[in-house]
Amino acid sequence: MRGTALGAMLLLAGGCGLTPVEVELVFPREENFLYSEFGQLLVYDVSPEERLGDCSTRLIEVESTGVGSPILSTQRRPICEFRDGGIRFPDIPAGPHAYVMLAYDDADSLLLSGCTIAEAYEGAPDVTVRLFPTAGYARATQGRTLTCGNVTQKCATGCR
Amino acid sequence: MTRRTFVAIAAAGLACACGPERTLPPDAFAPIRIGVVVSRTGGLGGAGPGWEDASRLAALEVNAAGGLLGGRPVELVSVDDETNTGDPDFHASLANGLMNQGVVGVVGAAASSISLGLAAVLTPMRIPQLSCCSTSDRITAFNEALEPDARYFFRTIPPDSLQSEVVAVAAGALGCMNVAILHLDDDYGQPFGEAIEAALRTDMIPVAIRAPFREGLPSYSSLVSMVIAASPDCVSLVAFPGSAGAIFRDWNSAGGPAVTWIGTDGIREPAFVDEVGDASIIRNVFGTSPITDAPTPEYNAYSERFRASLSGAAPIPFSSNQYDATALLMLAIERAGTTDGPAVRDALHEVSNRMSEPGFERAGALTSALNQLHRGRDIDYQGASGNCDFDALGNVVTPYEIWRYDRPGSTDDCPGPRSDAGGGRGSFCRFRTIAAEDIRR
Repeated sequence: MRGTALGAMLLLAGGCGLTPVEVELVFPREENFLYSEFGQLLVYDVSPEERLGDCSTRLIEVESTGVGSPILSTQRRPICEFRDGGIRFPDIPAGPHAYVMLAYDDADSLLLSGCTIAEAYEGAPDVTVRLFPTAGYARATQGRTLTCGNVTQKCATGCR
Repeated sequence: MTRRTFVAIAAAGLACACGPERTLPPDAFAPIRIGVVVSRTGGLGGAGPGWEDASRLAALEVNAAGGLLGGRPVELVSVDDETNTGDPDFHASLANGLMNQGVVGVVGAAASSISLGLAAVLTPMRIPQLSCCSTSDRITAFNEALEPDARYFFRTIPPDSLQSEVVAVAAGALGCMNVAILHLDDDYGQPFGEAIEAALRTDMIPVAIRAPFREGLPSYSSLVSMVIAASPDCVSLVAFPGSAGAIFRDWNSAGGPAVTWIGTDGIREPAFVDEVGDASIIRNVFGTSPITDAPTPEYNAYSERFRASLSGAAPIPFSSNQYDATALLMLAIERAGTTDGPAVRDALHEVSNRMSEPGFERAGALTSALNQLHRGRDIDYQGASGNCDFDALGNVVTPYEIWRYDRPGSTDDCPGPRSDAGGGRGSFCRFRTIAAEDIRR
């Protein structure tokens, strides 16, 4: 019994450096969401060199060399799973992190990206990541005709 | 209390108390507020929302890249100046209202009188101010009267001292023999009209009459009658879309003779066509304007992202200047590492001009520019509207064009690119390009 209680306390103590974080996504306009098919949200430790200005480096790296080594990441999942708020990470280590969101079309072209630095601590506000079209957005969407009129229709019917 | 109960309470207490604590200051991610003064109503009300969108685009881009100064988002505080050019108290109230909301810099206004009214408050308070569209030479004089370290006004469009010379070039090229000059009586129109008269006289082109007028009058019929009586063959018009539309309608109603009209940058926009109402009235109206939508890589990238991020419509004329003004202010804050006015003012010169060689970084996209600045490197911002190299008086230089308005469906030959006014309004044809170095100064 004593061993069990001690183990539970140690487990709790070990978890003291972790906290849940809600991440909300903001698309510039509805059309950007309609063109997107998949999304991936990644969490990075801020690098000692870049500290709180880490975002621009992260965005340039993910566009040029890939996602690198995030400490946490969702799978690449349907973009509709990110609507209405986004996603919740149950155990983010304490301290500042870079939250990077990537949105792709069905041809795997990166359409939108965004990054926010936020500190994880108990009671911290939700993290908001604002997305912006990448340099390849115009080329990837040129000539495409959207068959979905709005987000509700897209996520209900799977239209594109 | 049993041992089991004690353990449960202790464990619960530990769980409640052990969440990680904040280590950064509470204001570590506080928004950085930037004022945006635009004309949503009045004579420039047709263009103001499009210019406001350009500021929004720049802020969207920076916020998606993590904001400024280590994760602080940019928040735009926009106000409507109503194109109210004649009320300095109103301008002061706008400036004070923005400062009370904690803005660290201001983008605006478009109308020169309003920009100067704002500057009268902002400059003494060391708040950097950048205008997209104020071309008055009085702004140059405003800065000239100050010591260099007391100047806080910048603009991403060149001053009218250059454009007045281009008007004279246009008058000569169009064969004008007797020119009437109609101009707004404000800080934009008055010095511009005077400079046009001087340039025409230098070129030995007679001036039939020079007549100022006020923006926002319900009718300009008496002005039109006076000009018709002077028998010009060309009319140089310095106006905003609202007054220009009314003048053209009154000219048409009065049965005014066929003359060659030479407008300026003030009416080279879709709102001018809307204000006139009947596009046939302004067939073959000519004009002059700085070129700020040349198809450079920077402008094309701006235009693509504008369409992708906002309404899907093309950016309107001079919105590239508004985007650059907003972008430069944000980049200067990042360069300065602070929102302190004097430091940001100094940084505006640093990010807009070539500071080091070799190894300078050319930036056309804001994420890249922020990254270079964050790494302590110099940048030489290349804007959507031009190179945006600020001189000591906060001015820039661009090439100019002589434009011609073409009605919808016009088959007239256009020697340069056409700028579609959108919505079936017709287009502005670049009739001739004049390089900056070819303009007499």
